[in-house]
Formats: sequence, structure tokens, C-alpha cells
Amino acid sequence: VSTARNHHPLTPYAFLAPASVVLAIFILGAALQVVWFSFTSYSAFTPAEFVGVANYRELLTKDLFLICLLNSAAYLFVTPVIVVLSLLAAIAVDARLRALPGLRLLLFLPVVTPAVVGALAWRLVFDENNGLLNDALGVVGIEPVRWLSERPWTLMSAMLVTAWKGFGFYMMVFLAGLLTVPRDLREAAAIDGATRPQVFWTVTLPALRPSLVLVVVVSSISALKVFDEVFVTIAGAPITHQTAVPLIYQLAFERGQFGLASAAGVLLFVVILAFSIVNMRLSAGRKA
Amino acid sequence: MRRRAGQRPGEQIRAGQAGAEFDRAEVGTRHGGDALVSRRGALRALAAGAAALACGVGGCSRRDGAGGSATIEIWTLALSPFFDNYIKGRIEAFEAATPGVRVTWVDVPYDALQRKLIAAAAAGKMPDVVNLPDLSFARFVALGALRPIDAELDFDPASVYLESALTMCRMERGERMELYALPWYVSPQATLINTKLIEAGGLTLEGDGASGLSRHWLGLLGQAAEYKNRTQEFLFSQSLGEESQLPIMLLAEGLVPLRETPEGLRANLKDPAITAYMERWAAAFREGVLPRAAATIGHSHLTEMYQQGRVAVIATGPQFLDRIRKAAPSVYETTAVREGVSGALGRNHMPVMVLGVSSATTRPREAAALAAWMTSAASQLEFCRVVPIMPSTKATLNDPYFVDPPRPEEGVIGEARRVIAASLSKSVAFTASLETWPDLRRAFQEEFKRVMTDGRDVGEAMGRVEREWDVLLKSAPRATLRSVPRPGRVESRGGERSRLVDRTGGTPVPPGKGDAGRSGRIA
Repeated sequence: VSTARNHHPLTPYAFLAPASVVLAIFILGAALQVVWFSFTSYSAFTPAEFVGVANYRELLTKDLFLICLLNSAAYLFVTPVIVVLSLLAAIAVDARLRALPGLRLLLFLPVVTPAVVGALAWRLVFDENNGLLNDALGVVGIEPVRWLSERPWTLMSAMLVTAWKGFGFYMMVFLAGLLTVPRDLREAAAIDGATRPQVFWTVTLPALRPSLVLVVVVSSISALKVFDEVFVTIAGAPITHQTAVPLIYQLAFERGQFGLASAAGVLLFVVILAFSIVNMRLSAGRKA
Repeated sequence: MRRRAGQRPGEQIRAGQAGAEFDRAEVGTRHGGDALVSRRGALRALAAGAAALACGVGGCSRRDGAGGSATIEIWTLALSPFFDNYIKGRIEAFEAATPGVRVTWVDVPYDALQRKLIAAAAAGKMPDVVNLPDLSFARFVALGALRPIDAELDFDPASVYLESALTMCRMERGERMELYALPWYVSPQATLINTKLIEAGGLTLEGDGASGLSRHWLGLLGQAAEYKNRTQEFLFSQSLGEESQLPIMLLAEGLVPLRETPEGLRANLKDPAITAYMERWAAAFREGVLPRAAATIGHSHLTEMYQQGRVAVIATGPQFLDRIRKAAPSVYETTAVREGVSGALGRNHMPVMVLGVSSATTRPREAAALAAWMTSAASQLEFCRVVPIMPSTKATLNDPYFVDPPRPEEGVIGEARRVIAASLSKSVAFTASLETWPDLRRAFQEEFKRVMTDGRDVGEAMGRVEREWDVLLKSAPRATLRSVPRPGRVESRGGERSRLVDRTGGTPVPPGKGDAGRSGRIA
């Protein structure tokens, strides 16, 4: 029975309050603290000392941060790989291949595998002296590849792990999208004489556009802030082979330079924000 | 004493109380009327939630108990669960000997120490006593995490601890050397040799050089190339990139990578002898004489590859023998132990674990007393009986456990103890007691990784490292070569007994401990 007291104006706010307080303290508060630390020299053991923009100047005038940021940008190449792989996987699962009843489970397994466990397993595969991959290449007469120590293989190894780990999730997104494509549309196109590829390009793919935009935006943001796969898979490679977030980790937790690490974090946030805005504008523009 | 994962008991109780407040507010409103959430209930819930969060964030624990007793917290490194009984026993004995002081023990994983300690400092929850490896010790002194403890000790540390280990714990402060930690256990490097593999490669344990397995790094490097040609396998490996041992090996060769100037210490990496030394290692790596893991994986690759029979020789701490015994019994059975591989000075490196007192402690005297207790001769002797490590206390080395020959049933581990105890007189903690040392090593290893993986020129790389080192040294407290281990050369006579010509940093131990393990093979 609805009463006036049930619709007390404070009720929704009361429901929202616990989550808001938690978010305010642990997300917004922490973010603001990082911005403050970025203008200080701070080691956690001594009080923060205001240094103005010195941290930003150091990051932007030395190569290290810019190289890692470029590596992060290069990491974006994993996005098209993920899109293609996950779309192909979704189509395969959607086609209900009778020969492969556990296909969906198999393809989704990497998603639920902890990133560190997956990356450690891949390290064994990539091992440069006794790894499975180099052994396999050796069988066909190809020289061993320096997967874990030489450019550009280091970044590519980590990207391979990211693609392996992530494509199952995006497959599910595409699968959900495929289920919304009206079957009669595809059938009508087929009756009109369209071949299977034509049906895919002219009917299915345009209908999947919202899913495609979602996958591209989410996977590219994830690529820019990748950590686990790089940190574990190519641990020990020069930091100049790695991306921005492992550098931030190193600055903060291995060197104790929280101020510098915070400034790097703020700069990375600005880059990701700008990238997201551009991405969303482009998506909105295409819609119009 | 109850071991905890991370939170203090006080926090849990208070956070739990706040949670109970929230529950009561919710229940009260349910029974109070029609509204799902009344205004008063909502405010109570908010207040309780905020209190819980405030406790979690700000910390509600009190250091001192109600009865006036002090509680001090000690963090150890990767000792639980293997040595729970030992640590708990020593803490209980300390509590019994020190009325009014309670001890809380927290063990942290080795790789998580820096992160956890920094996080604890940021949260205002630093432990009172903290166990640090020598490589991290200087960094935490530089960050202001530790306090000098000379004034807190009622004994002369020089009379208790091995000189080299103690020297590493002192930092230069103008003319004075201040003590920032007490040395705990040490693990002088031993050479573990897979006798089957070296025999297959045409090498023997007898002698030094030619067909006898070399006892020096550069000698081994030469033999490794021949071994590779003969067997297509690796004779040995060393961490050259990640966790690079090269700065330490330079000191062990008598090549000092720092020089003293009127402005303080500066880099000396463009010294032709140093560049030539680096070129030898870089060339060996590029030619495939050393495994690829030497560039990108730290110490762990040594024991892993040795266990798998993929390298024949490694230089490591004797404590890893127990792991090899369990993981690879067949390799363990063929293992012989010799004293650690050395440089031209004839001295092997001795990593040191230390116990420091936190700068945040409100009980420095009790904290220093706990550190002294845990590092005392009696505590260390008991610890050495549990695990194959070596003590940093002089008195412990006089115990029959180290002086008498090992029992046959102790096997390789017993022999290792004999060999290492004998080599302690020549072992040196080659870790410089400079606040900048961790950063100098990081700068070096990052550049040397690029030499190995990106094919950079060694000379140019050393130039780049030298410039970076100078920037780091200029911005650090002024230091002199007093802080850099520069021991004298050990002269060998017939490859048997050694004579010390020590300048600084050598470890004096009672003579007559023998030269165990030189002959190699262990039954």
C-alpha cells in the first residue's frame, strides 16, 4: 500500500548515501589527493612538500615517461585484434556449431582466469631458451624470437596475452548484439540473392554498430591503462619497453616517488580523457 | 601473541561496533513504522557508516594497552609459515624477558615489502621494527623510514656483529657514521655445482682454471664459452639485467665505480677497465654463452634453471639448497658445494638481512631492544639450526654447530654450512651503504638491460649511466668512499688456506675453521 511516508523526499538520497560516501572517500577523495600529490615531493614517510609543476616538468622533459606513453599508444593496436577475434568467436558461437558444444565455455575461460596466472603461463610459452613457442618455431626452421627481451616482441607478447584474456568478454558483447539482429532481415536478404558475406556486411554488421562502438571504446581505454599483462608477462624487460602504468607503479612503489608517480597518473588520465572524448564525439558524429 | 594478516585488532573491533550501530538503526526503522527508512534512521546509518569508514581510513588503534603495557609491531620478510615456531618462540621469550611489552608479529611476502611498507607509512601505520634486505635498506633510510639507533642500544654493536655486516648498516652523516639497523642473518654466496653436468662438459672440481672449474667470474665466463661449444648447454648464469649483480661484481673485482671529489662522490663508470669488464659480459650474453633469462629475470632464474638441470653452476645463498633438495632430489644428489664465485679480490658477496627501527615508532627503546633480541647470538644460533643460513654475530660462529664437522646424515646442506662458515672470513657485504645505492643500481640495470636486449654500445651506455649517477649523487647527502666496500685482496696459497690482507670490510672470524668444501664432491 502506497503511503505519503513511503515517498519521503529523503528516501532515495538515503539509499544513495552509503555508496556516495564510499565513492566520495575512496574514488573522488583519492583522485583529488593524487592531484595534490602531483604538485608535491612526497615519499609517504615524510610530509608532502609543495614543488609546483616540477614533477610535470621532469616527466615532460625527460624521455622515459614519453617513451612509455608512446608504448601505451602502440598498445592500442591490440584493439582491432580483439574486435576481429571476438567478432569471429561470436559468429562461431552464434552459428551453434554442433561439433563444438563447449565452444562458448572454452572461449570465455581466459576471461575468468586471473590475469597474473594467465600471464605467468604465457611466460613459459614465451621462454626464449626453452619456451613452447620457440621450440615450435625451431621445428619449422625459424630462429628463436626474443619474446621477452627485444623490441618489438616484448610489447607484442604482452598484447597477445591481453587479446587472449579479453576477447572472450567482448565475444559475449557481440553475441548479445547478434541476438538482437532480426533473423527475418537476414532471411529477406538471402531470398533477394545476397551471399553470406554480403548478408554479413550489409545486414549483420550495421546492426552490430552499437556493440562495435562499445567494444572499441572499452577495449581501447583498457589498452591505455593496461597493467597486469605487461607487468607480469614482460617483467624484467627494460622499463622503456613497457607502458605508462607499470612506470607509474615503479615510480611509486619501487622508488617511493609518489609525487612524480601522481603527476604521471594525472597526465595519463588527461590522455585517456581526451581519447575518450574524441572517441565519443566520433561515434556521435557517425550516428548523426 | 596472535599473528595477523594486516589489520590491527583494535580496528576490527571498532569497525565491528560501527557496523553493529548500522544494523541497529536499520532494524529499528523496520520495526518503527511504515517507512522503509526514516529520516532519523537514515542519519544514524550515515553516522555509523561514516564512523566505520573513519576508523578504517584514519586508524583507531592504540599502541598502548590499558594496563600501561606497550605493544610493538615487527614485520618480517617471508618467514611464515615455515618458521612460525621459531619466530613465535623468540617473541614469547622476549615478552617474558621484557615485562610490559607485547609484540605483534606480521610477516609480509618478499616481493610485497616495499609496497606494503610505503602503504603503511601513507596510512600512518608503520611497524616499529622492520626486516629489510640489504638492497632495500638504503632506500628506506633515504625515504626517512628508519631512525638511527646508536643511542637506543646499551651495548657496543661492534663487539657483537661481524664487521662487514655492521658496516653496511651504517650511513654517513657528515663525519659520523650512524647506525640505522642491526644485521640479522647473512647468506654468503656458495657455488652449487652439478657434478654430472660439469663432467659432461669436460670440467672437474679440482684446481682452478684449465679443466678445473674456475672460482672467479671471468674465468668461468671463459669456460662457459667452451662448455657451450661442447654441450650446447649453459655452464652458469648470473643476474646481469634484472636485479643486476654487476655493480656488486665490479666491487668484488676491485673496480670501484665511484670516485671521490671535493664535491662528494661521483660516478667512475667510464674507467676503461670498467667498460672492458662490462663488454666481456655483454659479449658473452650476445654470443649466447649465457641464458636469455640473465637479462630479464632476477635471482629466481638461477635456482629454477639449476633445479631443471639447465645450468651446471650457480652462485647463491645456501638456504636454497633445501628448496633444491625438495624440488629436484636427483639434482641435489649430484650437487657439490664450494665457496662462492669471487672477483679478482678473492672475496665472495654476502647479502645481509637487517632489522631496522621505524622513524614512526613511539617506543624506540623497546623497538631497538626487540631488534637486538632477534639478532642476538642466541637467537641467531637457534635460527641457523632451523634453516641453512649464517649468523651475523661473532659469538655464534664459535658454537660447535659451526666449528665441528657436519654429521654425515646432514648431506650436502651440512657440507654447505661447513664451506660457508669457512668462507665467512673472506665474505664481504658488497652493498654500498649509500642512500643512493638502490637508485644507482636501478639506473645501471635499466641501461645494461638495453645493452643486452637492444644492442646498445657498452661505452655509450656507461656514459649515460655515469651522467645519471652524477645527477643522483649530487642530489643526495654528501658521502665519501668510506661508504663503499673496498676490501683488500685475499691471497691464496696453493688454493687452500687464505691469508687476509684486509683494509676495510673484511669479516674477522676465529681462525682455524678450515677450508671446507674446497675439494668439492660431497658424499
